[in-house]
Amino acid sequence: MPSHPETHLCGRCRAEFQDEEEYFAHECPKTGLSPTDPAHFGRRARRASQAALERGAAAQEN
Amino acid sequence: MAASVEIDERNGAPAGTLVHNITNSNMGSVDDDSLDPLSFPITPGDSSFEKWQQFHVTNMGGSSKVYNLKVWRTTALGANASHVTNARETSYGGAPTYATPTDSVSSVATQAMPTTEPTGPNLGIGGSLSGELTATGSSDYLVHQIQTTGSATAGASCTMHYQYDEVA
Repeated sequence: MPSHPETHLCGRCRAEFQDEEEYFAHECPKTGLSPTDPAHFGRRARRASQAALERGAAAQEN
Repeated sequence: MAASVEIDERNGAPAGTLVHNITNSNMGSVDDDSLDPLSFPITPGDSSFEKWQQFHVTNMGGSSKVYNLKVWRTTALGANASHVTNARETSYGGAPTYATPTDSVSSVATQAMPTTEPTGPNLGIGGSLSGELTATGSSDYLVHQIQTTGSATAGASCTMHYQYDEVA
């Protein structure tokens, strides 16, 4: 049994949440998006994600 | 669409505060995410506070699984410093139970952090290196720490790599 209740914090906007569901549901003011939206993680993450999809597609063709 | 994955960090006494989607992994003399190393430097001879971090899949994005987690660091540390972790490809110790991060020598992070991409997974899911995430969820904790000697020089700026595979 934890000695303290768990707290969730958004690393972008620093808002606090009681649980993961609340965190997932919030619209981060820093990005205007929820953490379940890939665009929430920024352009660099989007580029990495796109590159991964392209590598996967190329691997399937070969 | 690919899976959405963030790196989370837990701080404080259990259960602690889980900081989602951290912006950096700065190591220093305070148990905080995204700390300022100029304000919280590691005194030569001391260790940083441990980092307790996890891969966290927030959306599978149509993929069926996320697996094969690899963690490593590139760029050399400053002189007389070492970077240790629980991540390893052999003799993996399973999923560590979260404990308040310490700035004493870690009993969990006991092996050198790889400085090149590991051949196979070195961080587990569900306590196993062959574990998989098939829905939103988190990896085992990655525990890592910087340890220094009294001769350590001012710090270095390094790059941490967090890599995974996913199957669409």
